[in-house]
Amino acid sequence: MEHFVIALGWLGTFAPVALGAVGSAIGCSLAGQSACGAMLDVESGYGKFVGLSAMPSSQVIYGIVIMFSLMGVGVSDATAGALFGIGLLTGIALLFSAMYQGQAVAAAISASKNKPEVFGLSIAPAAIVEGFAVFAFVFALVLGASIVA
Amino acid sequence: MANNAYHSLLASLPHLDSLFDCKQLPISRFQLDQRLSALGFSERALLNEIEQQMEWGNEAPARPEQNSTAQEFDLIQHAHSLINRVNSPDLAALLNWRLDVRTVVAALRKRMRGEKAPGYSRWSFGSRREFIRRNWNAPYFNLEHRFLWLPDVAKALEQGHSFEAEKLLLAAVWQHLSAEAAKQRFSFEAVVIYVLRWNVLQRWTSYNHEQAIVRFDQLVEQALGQYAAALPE
Repeated sequence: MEHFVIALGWLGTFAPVALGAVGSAIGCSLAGQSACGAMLDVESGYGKFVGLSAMPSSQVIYGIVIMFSLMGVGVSDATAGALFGIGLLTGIALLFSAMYQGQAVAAAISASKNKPEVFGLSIAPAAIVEGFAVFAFVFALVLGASIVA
Repeated sequence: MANNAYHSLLASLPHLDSLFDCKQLPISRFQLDQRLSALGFSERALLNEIEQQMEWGNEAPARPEQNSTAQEFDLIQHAHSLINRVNSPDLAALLNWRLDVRTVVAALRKRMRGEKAPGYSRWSFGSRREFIRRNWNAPYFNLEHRFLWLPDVAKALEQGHSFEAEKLLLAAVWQHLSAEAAKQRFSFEAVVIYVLRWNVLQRWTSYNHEQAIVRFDQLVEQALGQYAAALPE
């Protein structure tokens, strides 16, 4: 039982990176495919599409920072439960926010390709989704710091 | 085709903006086919079938060994089997709507010719064929609230303004497809709706093209003056 609890602690520590990486991969893939498609239809401005399609990669960076923060607490019988809860739920939040941000970016690329003047505004939905990922990131750090070893 | 690959396909297709303001297609059929090659084999085959079925002015294939009723029956059967094979409720509803439009216009034309209500229920395709048959003598088949354009189309047909009627129908189909397109995001349904909208646009721009040829001929005749008659047929 003790080993199982410790394993859960490690799972929680690495979950933000693993789930964040899965989400970022899916999000960047969706957005990147839209960017590639848009490049077939426009004559210039390719760079902004490629740059925009990298937006969902921030979630995995947040995951790495959270992982280091949780590792600093140390995995033990006393901390494993808290690490598991915080890490897993933050990972899930990062996973879904990256996936849906990818869809928002894909829609933004599609819209701004047809109407370049809405480029700035079309990023707003993706930026709002980013905001939710930041909430999960910041509060995971705050809660992680309050875990008593 | 992987679900996510619709993103690149749909993002590569230019926006189809406005029907009647369009002077030139934003993408040629050749280019469109090239982009659609990203679809899987079965999806491409289904899309082709849908296009053939939905194409404006599509008629039963000429088969001399069959009479016209048998050809109609084949066409109706094919439409039903196509809708059954479409694995999407949204797409099936869209195809039914489009077939309903064709059925209601066919019914208007038949009634104008003095024909009586069809004697059997599978006289046409679409989900409202039986309703139309039962309401044959009602003005606009009691469908004027469902198809708001129906009274205008009926009036245009009665007055012999075929082009006006066709324009109203094109506008109605364009509007419906545009509304459906707004509901879809990066899916096979969105690809089908895009291609159907492209077909409507192609239809409209080809009208202008035909008009241009007539006008061109008039100008040539005008320029040639008395020598026009000397030209070979």
